This record gives sequence, C-alpha cells and structure tokens, in this order.
Amino acid sequence: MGDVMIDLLTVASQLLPPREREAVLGDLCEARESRWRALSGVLGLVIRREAILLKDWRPWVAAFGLSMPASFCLMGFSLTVSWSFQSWIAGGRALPLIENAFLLSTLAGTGGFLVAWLSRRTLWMSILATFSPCLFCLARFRQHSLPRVCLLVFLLPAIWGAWQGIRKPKPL
Amino acid sequence: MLGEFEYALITAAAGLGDKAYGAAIREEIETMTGRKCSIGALYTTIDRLENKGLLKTWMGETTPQRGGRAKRMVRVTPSGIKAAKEFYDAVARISRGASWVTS
Repeated sequence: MGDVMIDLLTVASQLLPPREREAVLGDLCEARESRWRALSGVLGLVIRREAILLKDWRPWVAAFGLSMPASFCLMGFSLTVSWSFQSWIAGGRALPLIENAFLLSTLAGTGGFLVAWLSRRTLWMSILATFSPCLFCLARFRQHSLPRVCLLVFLLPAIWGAWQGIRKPKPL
Repeated sequence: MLGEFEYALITAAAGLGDKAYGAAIREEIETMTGRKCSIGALYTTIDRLENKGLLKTWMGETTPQRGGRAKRMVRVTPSGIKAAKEFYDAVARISRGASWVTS
C-alpha cells in the first residue's frame, strides 16, 4: 500500500513543472506529511493549476469552438478521401484523390496547429473534444464499403499540425 | 486589494524574513490562523502574488530534511508591503466601532 502511494505521488508530481515539483516534494518531506496527505496535496495543486488555466478563454475556444466542430467536418472529409482512394484503386482518376488528400491534410494540419498553439497546456481538453465526436460516429458508422478507421484519416495530419503548434512559442 | 489569505501569506513571509520559503510559510500560516493550509492554496497564491509583483521567489539551497530537494525562497517586495499595509488599514477602518473590537 505504501509503495503504491509513493508511486502515485511520483506520477502525480510529474504533472507539475520541474521547479515546482522540487519545492513541493521537499516541503512535504520536511513537514513529514503522511503519504495520503502528500498525495492529496499534490493532486490538489495540480487541479488548482488546471482550474487557473481554464479561467482563460483560449482552452474553451480551442476545445469547443475548434476541435469539436472541426472533428465532425474532418471525419466527413476523411470519408471523401477514402472514397476517392477506393475509386482510384478501382481504376479511376488519381486527381480527385490528390486534391482531396491535399485539402484534408491542409485543413486538419492547420486545425491541429491552431488548437495546440492556442492551448498547449490544456491540450487534454481539446483531445477529449476531438475524440468524443469520433467515438459517437464510430459507434454509428453504417458504411459497409469502407472500414470504420477511414473516419479517422484526418487524425494523422491533425496530430502533425498539433505537434508543430506545441513546438511553436504560444500565448498560454 | 489583497484577499484574506494573500494578506496572511505576505504577513507570514515578511515575518520570516530571509527564512521565508514554502514549508516555513505554510507552518506560520497554520499557527497564525489555527487552520490547515493546503500546499495547493499556498503555491497558487505565491504564484499569483509574484505575478502581481508583490513577492519575489527563487530556488534556494537543499537540505537533508527535505530529501535533498531545493526550497522555493520568498521575499516580500516593497509593493507587497504597501499592499499589505493598505489591506490592514482598510480592515482597521472597517472594524472601527464594531462591538468585538477592543479599544
């Protein structure tokens, strides 16, 4: 039980910035807090930090103004690209596939970039906002000519865009 | 104007002087108020006051009692002292004439 609490405390403290982690764990050690109180103290600090970030407008715009509606549109676009691909494999023209794939990559990449740039430290919220429509649509997918995973084609360029957004200096 | 907890934190840090850091301030607040002070409330308030320019913090030395971890040292800035004085004066003005105030 004690080891589990220490493991949990170590994991929870990883959610804090290195400088703060050092000071907080040192304070808890010095105060000889029980493991349970130490864990609840660290978790309380992490939750307060997140709550402060969520007072800003950017995480909300990124999650519910961008990620959620965009994931619906991009799932539709992913299906279009998949149909174009199917048609090309069956001997159709390659141009529609190239055009649609380019457009999907651009839109998803830009969306991912914007979301990550706007709310890097609250990206978990945007990820949840992206995946909730995905799960909804995956559960109701009735298109027999395509596998369900085709709905998620947009995720590849979106993740690449988000990665670029994380690396760029950002406002939050 | 400062909040009650912000005032308690500044007062505790000012009283501790060069020995003001997270654990010491927390202990001082708990002794002064007789209430538990969570580490979350302490550090988020320190950050807020630092952002307002009322405190200055830096990483201090490590000690064996802390498992070799560094302290986050705190110093009250002149603006912090001014804000604390304003808060105290306001409370004193508001309390004037109240039945529980002893002259």
